[in-house]
Amino acid sequence: MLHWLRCGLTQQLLYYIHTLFFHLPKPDQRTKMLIFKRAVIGAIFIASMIVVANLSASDLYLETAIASHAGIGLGEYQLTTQVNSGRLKAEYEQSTWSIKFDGRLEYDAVFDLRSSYSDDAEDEYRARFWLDDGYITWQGSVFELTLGYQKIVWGQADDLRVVDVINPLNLKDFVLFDIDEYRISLPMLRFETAFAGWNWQALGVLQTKPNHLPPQGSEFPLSPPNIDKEDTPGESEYGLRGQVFWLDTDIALYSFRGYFDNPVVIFPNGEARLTYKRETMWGASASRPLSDLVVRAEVAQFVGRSFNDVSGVVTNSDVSQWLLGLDYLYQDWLITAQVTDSYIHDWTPLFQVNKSEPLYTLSADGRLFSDMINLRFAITHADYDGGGLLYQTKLAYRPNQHWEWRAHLDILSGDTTNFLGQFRDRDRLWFALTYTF
Amino acid sequence: MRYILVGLLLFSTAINAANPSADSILERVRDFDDGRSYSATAFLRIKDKNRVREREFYMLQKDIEDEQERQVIYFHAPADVRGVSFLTVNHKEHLNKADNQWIYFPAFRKVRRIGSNDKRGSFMGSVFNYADLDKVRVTDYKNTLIGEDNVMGRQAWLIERIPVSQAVINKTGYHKVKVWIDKERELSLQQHYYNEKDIVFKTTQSAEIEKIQNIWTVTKFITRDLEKNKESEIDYSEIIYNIPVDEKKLSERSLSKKINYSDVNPEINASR
Repeated sequence: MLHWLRCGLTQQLLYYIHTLFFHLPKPDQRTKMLIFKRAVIGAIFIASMIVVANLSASDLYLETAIASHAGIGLGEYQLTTQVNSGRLKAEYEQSTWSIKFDGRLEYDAVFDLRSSYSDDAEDEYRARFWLDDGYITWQGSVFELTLGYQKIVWGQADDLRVVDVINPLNLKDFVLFDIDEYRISLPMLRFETAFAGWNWQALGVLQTKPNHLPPQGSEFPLSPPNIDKEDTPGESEYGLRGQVFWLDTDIALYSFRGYFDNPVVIFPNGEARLTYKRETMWGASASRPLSDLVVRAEVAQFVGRSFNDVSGVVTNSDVSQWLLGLDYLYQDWLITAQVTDSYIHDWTPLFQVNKSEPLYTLSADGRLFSDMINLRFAITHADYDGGGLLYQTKLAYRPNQHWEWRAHLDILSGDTTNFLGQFRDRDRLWFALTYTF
Repeated sequence: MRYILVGLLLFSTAINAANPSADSILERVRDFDDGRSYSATAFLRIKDKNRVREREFYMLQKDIEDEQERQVIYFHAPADVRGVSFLTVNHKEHLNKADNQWIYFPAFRKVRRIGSNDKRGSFMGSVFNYADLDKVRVTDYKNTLIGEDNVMGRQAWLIERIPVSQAVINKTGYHKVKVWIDKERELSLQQHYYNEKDIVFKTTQSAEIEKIQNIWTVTKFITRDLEKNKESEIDYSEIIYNIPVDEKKLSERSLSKKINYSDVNPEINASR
């Protein structure tokens, strides 16, 4: 327990480490008090998690974890993030219904340690609650109904999105984590059943949200500068998926009516404002083994997507998008290559986006030393706007069922106008330590 | 003449009964009656030097129309593997079709198809590889009965198995296998796996065998990696045969749902 109270003082310790390495001045009395108060709150939080972890009941599953992670920008050799978090995962089951909750509280101490981030960034990220799941499921004899905050993944792609259109993304850490770590859960009603040899899923999104673009003055600013007015997508979204196994192939068909998660700029009364437009998606995906490979494919047609042209006018066009992926399994390594591209049918040179935006990924994921170590190497190449590259090495070490150490190295390069290349001076090392009770 | 023919046939049958072919022994092991379905809970223990890690999982298997069998494995504990699940569809050997396999990782929230041509990968970090968990495939090897032996206090046939192709070696990682088959119970007691230098590098042993619902059942498997000095074991419990299993629980869709013993309990109770 004392050990954990000491770990609860991570913030204070990190402050001194940071002071040592990054030559910050000593904290004043007010800052010391602030850090002390937060350390006490942290210790109480950790103690409560230990209590929760020791609760038990046959139909209740509880899992608590605390974590601390830090990012170091390699360009300026500065701490870019220092998040301390506590996570609670709970599952309660009865014969016909169940409840699931998975969420965490985060406190980013980097805002105590450096002042170069904007107020907007601090407001967004100093303290936040992140919810992965929070729903109730009712299981009937032939169908299942789920209501609450959910993440639903469509398609066969890894970390790329073609038919995976339901949940928006939080790009606080750009695209450096695995996509599910920054997928935003949405309140939905989901209905699933099997009928005529197909598995069906119908869903309605009760409260829509767009992608979260980090504000100017944050580590990876993506929101348009000088536009502070934004509409929220107001109407509901609906989707339907049918899945079947046919001719040794997993096939799925998709239909979705909802908002494109990125904004367009409109100028009502001459003032710039971000708004979100609805579109319809029709899509399909398939995967099947082919000799030593598994082939994955996705296609989608987006009807009526909205774009800005250089004069600020909003124009609609249909967009086609596709993905082809190949997986090769060699002992404990999975090697994956993917290519995806999109095509705007009514594109003109006045559009602010490219007619085609090909993207290539190559990755190798390995499990080593009896699964104690997971290693991932990945390269992403965005082949447009002068080209951009992202090289990633991710290491996870689990010496036992309680501890997990993670280290990531993310290197970005390319043209500054490219999606990846725009952050070529934001290479970073990222470390995390998690204890699951 | 007719009596001579009958006499020869009887003599031939007697010879076969005394020394059956390796293929026929292995076919009987493969086609061993393990019920139309079964469910079990299991502990996988991974022993590496002084460290022991445990994984708890639940298994559900059912024969589908005499052509294939479907098996779901669902991991309950510890937290880092909770929710990981596998679906394997094994086709009967005479159909000459590759297995179909899917895996679900909760972290990715999607069911992924995986290839079945390389089963050398470690099963959840243990010494078992995925090939070790497969049913016996007779025709993947040239099988020779090389003698009889007494192992674990049981009379056994000793069979040497040589892979018929490089593809089989690439799939399993084994260049030769020696297998001891219990003469009476017709199940594997022990196997030795050889590398390309013809050296035993791994062994498996059916350490505990019980008769459950009149079916001889291996309740503990132990495997040892002699090169890396590691050991893993799978302990089965709560094994119940011939339960009425809803095929929906053995589908791709079921992988993302939690499956546990209590899910089939009402069906088990109904079948008693």
